[in-house]
Amino acid sequence: MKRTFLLFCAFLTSFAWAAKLPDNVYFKAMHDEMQRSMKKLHLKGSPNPYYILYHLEERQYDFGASASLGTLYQSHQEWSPWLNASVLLASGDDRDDSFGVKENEENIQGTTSKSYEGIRTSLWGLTNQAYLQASDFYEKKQSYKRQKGAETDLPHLVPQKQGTYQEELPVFTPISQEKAQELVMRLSAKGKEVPGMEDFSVSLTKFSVNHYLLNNLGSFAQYNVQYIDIDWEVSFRTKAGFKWKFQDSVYFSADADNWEELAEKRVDELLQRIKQEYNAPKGSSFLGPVLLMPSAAADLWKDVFMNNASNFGTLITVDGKEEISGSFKNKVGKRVLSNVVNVYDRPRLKTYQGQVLFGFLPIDDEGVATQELTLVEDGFLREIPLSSRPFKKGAKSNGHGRFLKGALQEHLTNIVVEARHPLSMEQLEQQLRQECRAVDLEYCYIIHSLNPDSEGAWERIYTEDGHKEMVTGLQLESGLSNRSLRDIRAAGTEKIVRNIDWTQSIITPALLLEEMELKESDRKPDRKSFVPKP
Amino acid sequence: MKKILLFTFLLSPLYLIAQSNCSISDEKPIQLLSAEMRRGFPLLKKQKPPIYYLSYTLKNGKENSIYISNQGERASYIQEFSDLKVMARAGSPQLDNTRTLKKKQSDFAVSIQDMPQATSDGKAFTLKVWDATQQAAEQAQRMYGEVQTDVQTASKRGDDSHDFVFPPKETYCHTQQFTDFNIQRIKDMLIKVSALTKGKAYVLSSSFSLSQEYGHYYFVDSVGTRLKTPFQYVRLSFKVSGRTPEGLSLSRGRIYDVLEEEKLPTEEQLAEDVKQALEELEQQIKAPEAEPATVPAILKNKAMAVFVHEVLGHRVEGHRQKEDSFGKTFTDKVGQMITSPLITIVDDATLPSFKGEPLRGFYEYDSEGVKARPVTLVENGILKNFLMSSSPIKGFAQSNGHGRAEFEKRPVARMGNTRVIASQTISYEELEKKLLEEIKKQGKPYGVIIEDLSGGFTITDTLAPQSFKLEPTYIMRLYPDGRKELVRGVDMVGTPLVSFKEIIAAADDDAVFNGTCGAESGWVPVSSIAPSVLLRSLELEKTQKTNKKLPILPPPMSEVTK
Repeated sequence: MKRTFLLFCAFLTSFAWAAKLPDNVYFKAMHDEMQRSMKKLHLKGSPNPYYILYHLEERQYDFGASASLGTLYQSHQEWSPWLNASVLLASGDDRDDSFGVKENEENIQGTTSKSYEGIRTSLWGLTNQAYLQASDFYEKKQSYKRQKGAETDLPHLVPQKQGTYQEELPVFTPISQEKAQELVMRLSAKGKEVPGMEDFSVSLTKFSVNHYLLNNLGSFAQYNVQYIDIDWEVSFRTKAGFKWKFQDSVYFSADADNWEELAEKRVDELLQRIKQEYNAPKGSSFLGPVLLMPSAAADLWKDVFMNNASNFGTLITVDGKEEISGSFKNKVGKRVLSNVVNVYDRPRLKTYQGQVLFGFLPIDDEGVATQELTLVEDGFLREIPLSSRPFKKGAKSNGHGRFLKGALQEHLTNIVVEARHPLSMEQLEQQLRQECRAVDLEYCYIIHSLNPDSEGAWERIYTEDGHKEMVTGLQLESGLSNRSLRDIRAAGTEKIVRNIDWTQSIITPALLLEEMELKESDRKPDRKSFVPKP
Repeated sequence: MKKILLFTFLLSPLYLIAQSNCSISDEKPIQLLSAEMRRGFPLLKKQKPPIYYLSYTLKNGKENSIYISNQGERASYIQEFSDLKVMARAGSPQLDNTRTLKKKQSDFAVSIQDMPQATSDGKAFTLKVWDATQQAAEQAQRMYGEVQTDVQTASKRGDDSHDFVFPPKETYCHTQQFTDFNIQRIKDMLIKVSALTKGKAYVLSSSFSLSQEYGHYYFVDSVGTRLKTPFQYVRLSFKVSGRTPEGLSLSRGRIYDVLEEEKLPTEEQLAEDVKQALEELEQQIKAPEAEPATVPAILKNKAMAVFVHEVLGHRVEGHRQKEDSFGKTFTDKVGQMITSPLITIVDDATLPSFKGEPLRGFYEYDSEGVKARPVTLVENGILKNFLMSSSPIKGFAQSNGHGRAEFEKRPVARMGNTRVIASQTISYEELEKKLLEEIKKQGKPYGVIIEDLSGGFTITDTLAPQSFKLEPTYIMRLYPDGRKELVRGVDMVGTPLVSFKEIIAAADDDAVFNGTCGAESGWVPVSSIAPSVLLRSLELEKTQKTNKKLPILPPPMSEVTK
């Protein structure tokens, strides 16, 4: 009876919100196809769909320019906008569903001419596929339940209060070709001054993404994210013969006034490190205090914290496999970090210091408005991301339900790390040297990256006079663990942004860690070129 | 005599085209690539094992593409490109890194996308060439090491010809001016015409597209060859697809290959063709399913063109006569009758067009820098020659300009423009009459007319039977009383040695099939020209079904229009 009431409420809501939807072809097409599917989509012998979420993503991009060592590339690209669609569908009901199925299609019909017919036709195809798949999963789930005798612990969705979010969408303005060409030529030309540099390419592209979301329970969202993507690729060889090839990207908010200046600063810092790396001596094994620069600190948060602070419900895939839950699941109220930093999740933060945040999310995949979370305060885990999966009795979603990797899971958005008593870089280095001195070490390490494929990661700082020297040929003795989080002794003032997998961002300062163990790398110098560099 | 005249006429455009119209030494990319070749190759030759052959191919050009469906644009782009391919051979011509023994054949080309502009100082460009050369040389040496190990432990090959024959030194410079098509006009036309699919419940998907790709190849090798050649491919096409309730996927469409915008169909012509394709699709869905049978058949010209390409063309590619992993259907049959004596087959990549229709298999020099030339493969039914790349085989020591590859792949022998010439022809109407006679003579309940083939495949390695399977997209039964009935759901199957001897008559209606062929060296544009032919017997078997249900709800627009 209760269930019937809830579903009835949902349908009532759907009639009510139709009038409030943004007035454009995307919402009209989504609304009409959703109404038709909810009313008529039925496969004999299978339960009806009870949840449908449509998400249209309109991508526009303007490929500015690319250059290598000061010379423009031959290539030029102009792309029409792309419209990608996804359908999230669950059949059955909130107590006994199909796990949910997501179908995606890139470049759907009706992109630039905003064809109502085209968009509806694509949504129709995707909804049909998703429903057939959901019906198949539903049957598999019944079979799994019978096999395991599991009635209560299986995932199901608990209806939540639905949210809405609407922004005015800006008009996309392409970037000036001359400006883009001048910038990439100037930045890439800086590579010519670096000894050992074999290639340094820089490219610039401006992106604009309009998001349109609608579900059948009354939630909708319309928003835009615009950014300037600067990518660089580096190929260089150290004097000792080690060859490095890597690439990186930085994403500036299209609204930032000083993005060119910021880009140049990033490139200068990178090339400075590479210059030092060219002549760097080989490092030796080490155990002691280290200073993780913000980019290395982001690696720590990504690999240790974010993995543990997500995915809490009982996650059973369609194959009946139980996925490993994040280890913070049962640690709310317990100490998980040193008390030097507090950690927050801020889903509605769109930019930070001129950079765009991919974790920005106003409404989650269950139509719930996202809420800001205090994840860690004074070292204690206070809140965790929650979806409508009832991981414990009475728990309510806080808008962090994402349908990723084929299943609904709890997912962080933008994590912001704030030092309780932030220190300047000079103060951090001073404290590092003090801690080195306390354990009688001649030098300690400043680590720029924990990514094994990255260059110039290791920098010695000498205890006595504070002079620094890049070294090469080191690696972590063992992988990162929760222990490192509890070893944080101090944190800095300046923060950087790291975007991950298009769905999450990390904003973190530098961190001073009590202890880390490094060992000598086994890597041998790369083969010398047969023909000398031109 | 008639045949000789015909060839003179057809070859005459080649002589007009194959004239240099620029100075190769003035071309900046050639200058930079040559300079790096001169600087690097002498040092590479001294390595152990030596790099004994090196080539650079630079592909510069532009691509305009439009994809439309249901009155909306899916995606369009204009893209300029500049890609470099470096091919290095380590060891010696007798045995090098390209030999395929126990290991699977692998590509030995290194390709770099997005080259810097070849500007006056050329520093960034040259640096990329140098880096790619090092990668290619290291890869060639590594693979050569594997080959040497394999040689020690593998049994002796049936054909122990060398792995490489040096191509002759060539110099040629051909610059062509290209004009961008009016993309907006074509886009508007396709959007408008795509509306014809609206409200058709049997159409599950439709697509309309235009692709224009043009540019120049620059080729430099260690033998001294320096080439610049143009290329252009333009294709407008559409396809409407549906499915029967039993899960059989069906589609109809048209392809228009042109080189000038004026040659594209007008909006009215295109609309007519779309309406006809929609009608054909609807009829096909309603048509009865055919049963497996062995019956006399007409392969209409375009279907015959695909048939020759798939069933015979791939089997006369040179490298398939050499590797023991291939079936070698025709390897020892040179001088023997392999098809009906009615048939002569020539592969002639130098033909730019046929009856005004551009041929996609046209090129001036192949991917190894060897000049294209006509090759008579079969003459009056007797096998004469193979398609050759720079990998020699027993009895065929030189390339005949058929070493082809998708840009980033390793070239092997491939077809260009494959032409079937019948020594005796009749009109198509007479051919149908002959089919009726054959049906009656054999006492068969019906024969079939295969209008169109979408493609298919042929098995050439020894792992599986040396057979082929081709997919007719439009097939009709012809009953002894002259009645025709559209059917669906069958594929053509058979073996090559039998099938080509079944040809008993040919019509005078030669037509072109332009396509893109996929094999070891990737996708290459090809053409095939053939007349309609009558086969004494053809085997049909059930086609694969998807087992997919029809969508639960009809397409949204078909409900609205009701």
